[in-house]
Amino acid sequence: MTDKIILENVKKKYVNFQLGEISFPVPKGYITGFIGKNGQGKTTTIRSILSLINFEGTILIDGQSNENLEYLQEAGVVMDESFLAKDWNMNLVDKAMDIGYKDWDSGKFKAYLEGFGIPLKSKVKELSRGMKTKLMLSIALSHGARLLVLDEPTSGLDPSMRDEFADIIQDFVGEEDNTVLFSTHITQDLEAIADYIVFIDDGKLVDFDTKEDFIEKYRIVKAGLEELKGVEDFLLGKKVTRVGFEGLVKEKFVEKISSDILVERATIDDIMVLYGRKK
Amino acid sequence: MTDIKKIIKLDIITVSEYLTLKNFIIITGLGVFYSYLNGNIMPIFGVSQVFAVIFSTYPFLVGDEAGIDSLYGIFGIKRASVVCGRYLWSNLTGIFYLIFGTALSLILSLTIGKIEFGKEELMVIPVWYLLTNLIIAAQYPFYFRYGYAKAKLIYTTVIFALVVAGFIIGYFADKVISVFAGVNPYIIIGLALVLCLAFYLASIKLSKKWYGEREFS
Amino acid sequence: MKIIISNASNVPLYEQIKEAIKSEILSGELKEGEQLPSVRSLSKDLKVSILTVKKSYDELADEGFVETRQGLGSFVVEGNSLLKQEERRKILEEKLIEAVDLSKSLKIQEEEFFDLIKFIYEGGIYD
Repeated sequence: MTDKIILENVKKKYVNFQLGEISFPVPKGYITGFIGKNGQGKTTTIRSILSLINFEGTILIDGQSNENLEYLQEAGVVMDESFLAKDWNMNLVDKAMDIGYKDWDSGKFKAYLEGFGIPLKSKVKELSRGMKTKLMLSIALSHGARLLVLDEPTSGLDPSMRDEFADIIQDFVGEEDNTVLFSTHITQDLEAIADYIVFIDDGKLVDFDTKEDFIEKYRIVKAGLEELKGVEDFLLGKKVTRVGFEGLVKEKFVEKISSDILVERATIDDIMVLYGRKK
Repeated sequence: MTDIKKIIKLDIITVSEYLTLKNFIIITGLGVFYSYLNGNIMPIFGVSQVFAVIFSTYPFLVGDEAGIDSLYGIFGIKRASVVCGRYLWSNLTGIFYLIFGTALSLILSLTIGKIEFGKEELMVIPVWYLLTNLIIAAQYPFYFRYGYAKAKLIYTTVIFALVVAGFIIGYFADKVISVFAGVNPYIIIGLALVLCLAFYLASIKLSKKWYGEREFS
Repeated sequence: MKIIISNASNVPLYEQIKEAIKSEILSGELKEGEQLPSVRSLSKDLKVSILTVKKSYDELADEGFVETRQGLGSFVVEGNSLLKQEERRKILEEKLIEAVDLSKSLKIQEEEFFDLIKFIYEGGIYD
């Protein structure tokens, strides 16, 4: 199995935050979910992958350094901030994309717009958050892209739209050579369809694994406050209330925990909510 | 399509809204009016070149607001290409307005006898070309570095400083000219051209450096 | 082909899929030599990850029900009626054990039990 993207020792310093060093692959042909709380480095990582910011370290796309920007022609991008001029209508967007992308397919783009119910005369600034996302998705799918990089694409979408979105993403990887990197803090979107998970916290990589193995590594433990002391050392994070606590542990430590304590499988959401949580 | 062509085409799309008939009417009106008052065609060039300089900042004005720098990034257009593209754009803009100014002057001189258009007037054109490009070269690095909004402030200060410098030089003009009295005029011109070119190239280099360091969302 | 999976079940998804396909094969719904849907299209239909379906297919191949031909897809193994037979016999045995246990717990005597079986075998239950 080859990797579409490889990050090696990527580092980026900001005044209040540092990303890295961080290294992980994005396997080719699969959906890799990129999870972590907001402000923990996901967007910085994505911007580095897209060469929108300068960084230290190496990022390889199909084995080549991302300093050679040609890979961007084959990359579809959906970000939560539109990179389109607010006053442009869809025809102008079409024109601009035709200039910028060598394999731009205007017919396909307009078909997507029609399918999503976006009128050609509408201007970018007139679109709702959800429509803007659909617009960016239309663009991303209309220039022969082999890689979809999605940064919080579903934040503005209602559940049925998110389901539609997942369908489209799965369609995309129906082609074996297509790869998706899906960064989100809405982990429900990934629970079903993600093949791999990259988990980042406080600018560092916590884990990279197949989704199934990732989930298998963790368990949720629930008990009363009296039992908390006994397990505290094993907890990767916990939530304490007046009537008990909920903690995250590695599966391998479960046998060391007393049988009074309720042990459950963790969802990706659980892991993200509890990891590093102090109270 | 090379990157530079892409940039110029994209800039044209973003800026085309502002290229209105109204602008040309204003240039024509002002230019003709002042030329008539002055008795020569200089004001026409003055006005049209001022517009050229203003217009050369539009890609920044509209581009910044539109986040077009991110779009360039998404397309995989190299920063250096964006810089070259914009300088080329401003150059072409300058030439365009020069041609417009020349045409207007010719028409004016033909219709109004008082206004001359001879060899001397013709020599003015390359001077305006150089001047426009120098002014643009002086501004652009700041636009590339700070974006339109912040750069405007710097730019206004620079213009102010230039005006003051102009006055000072004008005051000491005689003394300045006497220094060059004995020198062959062609050497002076040659030297001036070389300096202008050096300035222009240095400006490009600085722009490339500063723009390369910027980060976009 | 029919595959229904449950997210609420304790059984891992890949196993649910595997068993569903297996029973389709054993019941004859999926014929010998028939091609299974591609991993990717099935993952979309079921809304599960590609690797999940892959795992199911891999295990089906390991267990001899399915063979994967490089570049072509996965096909129900031909000439495995013997295997099917064995698997089905196993299922029969399991079900009989269940029936016997139930019968014992109901305190039904061995003879009565055999009578019941005879009755059913002769189609009595469908009257």
